[in-house]
Amino acid sequence: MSDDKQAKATIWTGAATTSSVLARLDKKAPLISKLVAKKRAAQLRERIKRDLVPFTPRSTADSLRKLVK
Amino acid sequence: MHPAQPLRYVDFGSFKDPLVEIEREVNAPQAQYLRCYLHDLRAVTVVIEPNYFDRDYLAEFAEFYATTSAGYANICERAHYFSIKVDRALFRRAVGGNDKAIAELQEAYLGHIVLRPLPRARLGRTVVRAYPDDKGEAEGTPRVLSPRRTYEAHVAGLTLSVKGLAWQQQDSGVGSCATVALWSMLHASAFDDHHAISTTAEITKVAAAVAGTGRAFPADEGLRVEQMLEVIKRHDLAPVIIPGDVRGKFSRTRFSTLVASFVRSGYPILVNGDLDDGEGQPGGHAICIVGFRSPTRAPVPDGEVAYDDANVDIVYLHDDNLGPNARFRVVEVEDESETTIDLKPEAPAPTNGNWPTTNPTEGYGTITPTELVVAVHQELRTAPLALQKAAMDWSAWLPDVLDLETKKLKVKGEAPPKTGMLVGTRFLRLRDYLDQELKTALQARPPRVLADARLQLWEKVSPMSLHIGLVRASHDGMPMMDILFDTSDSDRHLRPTAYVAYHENVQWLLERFNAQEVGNIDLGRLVRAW
Repeated sequence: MSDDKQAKATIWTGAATTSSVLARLDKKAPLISKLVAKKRAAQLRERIKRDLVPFTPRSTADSLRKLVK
Repeated sequence: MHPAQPLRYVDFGSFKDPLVEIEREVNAPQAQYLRCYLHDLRAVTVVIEPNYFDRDYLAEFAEFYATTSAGYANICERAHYFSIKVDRALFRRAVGGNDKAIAELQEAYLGHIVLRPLPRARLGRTVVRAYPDDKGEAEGTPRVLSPRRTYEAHVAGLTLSVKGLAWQQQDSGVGSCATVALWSMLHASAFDDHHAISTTAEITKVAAAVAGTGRAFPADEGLRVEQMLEVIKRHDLAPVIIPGDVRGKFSRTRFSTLVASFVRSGYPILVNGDLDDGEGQPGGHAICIVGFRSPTRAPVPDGEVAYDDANVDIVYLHDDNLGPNARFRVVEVEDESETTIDLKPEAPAPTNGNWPTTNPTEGYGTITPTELVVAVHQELRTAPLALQKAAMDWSAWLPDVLDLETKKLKVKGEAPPKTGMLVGTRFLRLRDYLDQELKTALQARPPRVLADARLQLWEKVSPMSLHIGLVRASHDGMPMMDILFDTSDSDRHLRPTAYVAYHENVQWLLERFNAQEVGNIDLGRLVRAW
């Protein structure tokens, strides 16, 4: 897949290639402290909670009797 | 007996073009719409079969028209539209087996319209080709019309095929707008295998039997949403109903991501909503969404994951008041300090000179969606909202830990790499995932990677359901991982069965996340695809 094509790929049409971001990771880097880890985990949970708001199930009770002509 | 008659060859847009005749006689906006649509597809010739028995119309005739005193015929006409000049000589060569003539006609075939002998509802089953999408493809915003299927028309031994989803004008004798939208929905590509397609008359009969709002025929009472759901169940399919999330209307994210997920899965969506008539008297209306244009890739903050398709701008829908594949823009409306969406008609600019007649899309009202109704396979038990939630729950860790690890690498004078990711969801058959999705995702890798991934899924992963829920996380247009969910259990037990990692370090990042971020993410069996 050419770079141009890859740049315009959608999430479903893109091809897996060598990722420069992933390839550079330092596998020997030290772990973060427990305290920082706890803080990050809380932040992640908050972000997920925020992003899931539009997907809350809603009651269909009011919908069922609607008449469409 | 109906008299035998020869095929007729008429110029598109001439007085003998059936669409022109209909417009002249009853000024139907649907005929105007189709004239504009086919004009932009460069229609040149109409070949008319004067005698055509249509399955849908015969059912309508049997249920209703046969017992009126008006003396309706039980036979239709069918008009075939071509983008080249077609005369009897060319057609004769094609039906005589001349390969060149057959190819020429097929290449130029734009679709067909069944013409019912009903003065006020002549437009029966209509299947037309979609506009070319070269620009969208080139710009990375392709049109997605996955619910389309291939229809074949057989004329004197010649088979002409067109890819689309059937539409028809509402015939209030046997159905309402909801009936037509349901009928289109049940034509979806997703149901090719085991499901017979109902006629509008059958849909009306089922709806009246389960929760009648009056007599079945003529069907001028309309349908209640609960009747629509029952019709879906009677077709051995499972109904899904999703109401709006903002006081009965939809936020953009909920509407866009769900519509995109269903369409990409091959399921059209019946949208129930209010159609603004321009006089402040909105009425209930149902349409069928058949496609959308992929939005431009939105930037995502570092370390975060965002829903792909959350900002869909354009949807394509079948509206019995207009026609097939009508283009509507998703517009945001400020509503008591909250933002909801409306669907506003927006015809594309004409590309073949001026429109040949009034384009009824201009001046048509906006639709405010209030419910999405979808028919899915019975075996598919996972709720779409549950899969959307799972997508976030099970993929948010990846950009988070990637961001953390890349920040540790900070190189002087070098901007840190972007670490935001997009996540998308779909339902699809396991066999299609193995066959098509993996092949596309691994097209740039050596064939052995595809072979290994397929065999791992087949031999190392616990047996999965016929339909799987697929969650894909993607970084900068590149797939990072696919998380596969079994869809045959209840949502309470929705957990990943396996994950396909497209890079070695995805696995390392997962271990890293679990080791240092108080995480306990279990994505099931790892499938190596690198």
